Amino acid sequence: MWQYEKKLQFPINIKHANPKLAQLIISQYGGPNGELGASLRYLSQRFSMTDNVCKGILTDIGTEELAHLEMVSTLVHQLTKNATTKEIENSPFAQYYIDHGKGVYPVTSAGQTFDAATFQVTGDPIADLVEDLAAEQKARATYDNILRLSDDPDVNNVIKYLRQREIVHFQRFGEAILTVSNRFLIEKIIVIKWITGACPAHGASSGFIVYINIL
Amino acid sequence: MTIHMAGRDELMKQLMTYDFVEKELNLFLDTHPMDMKALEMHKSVAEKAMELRAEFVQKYGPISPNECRSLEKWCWIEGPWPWEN
Repeated sequence: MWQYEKKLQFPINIKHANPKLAQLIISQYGGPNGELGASLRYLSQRFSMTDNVCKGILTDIGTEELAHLEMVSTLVHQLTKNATTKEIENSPFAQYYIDHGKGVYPVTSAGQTFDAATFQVTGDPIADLVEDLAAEQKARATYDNILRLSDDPDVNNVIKYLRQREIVHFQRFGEAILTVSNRFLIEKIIVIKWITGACPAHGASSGFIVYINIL
Repeated sequence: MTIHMAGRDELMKQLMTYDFVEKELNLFLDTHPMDMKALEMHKSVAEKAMELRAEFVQKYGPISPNECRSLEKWCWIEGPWPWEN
């Protein structure tokens, strides 16, 4: 079960309203690479994990994603709280404002509502963990896109923190895959040729290269 | 079921009972913040829950990762997990 803590994981204090930027950032709340999908993905995948390392890392990263969900919501809230009607009217936030006002609702930047089809639970530990590696990189890339379009240092400090967490999660998921694949090797379930054949041997990120080399 | 696990399950059941009462009073107090009787009950139930929790953690291991204090091994990831019976 869960307990709420009345604090953010990282401090957020936005001084200038910016509904246009809020409309971009809200994708990390309800979008395809966002924190809501991330937490639901990891917390749902736990039940079919066979290994305590994977059960633990999915529980703990899934829980941290809930804290990130709160941070993204806080950004959207603080960027819109003091926006004037004129500022909203002249921004892409206007369409969102019609249905949701200054509330925080899980949608993509383009206005699509949150969709659980943005993630999977296959019941297969390797398939799920490899999706998790990709998910962390997609979230990292989305934060990079936000950083390119934002010039508010108060926002960017928070986005840089969230971006860095994606990289740490990617690293830990890579290590979790190693524990599962090592177990497969010990049990002599030889899937080596099939997996190395199916994976791109070059251009992958560090955790994945280690995984392929071990295999 | 071993005697060890029976003791664990019994203590966990007690803790869950007190935690539930604490949660129920928590919700009630959110909308009745000046209810003296509920405040008193909450205080005593929360203290009892804390005692039971400390006993459980000491005997059977952490409920939350911040309760892992061993300098030999990170015991947080050890099973059983709550969804496993």
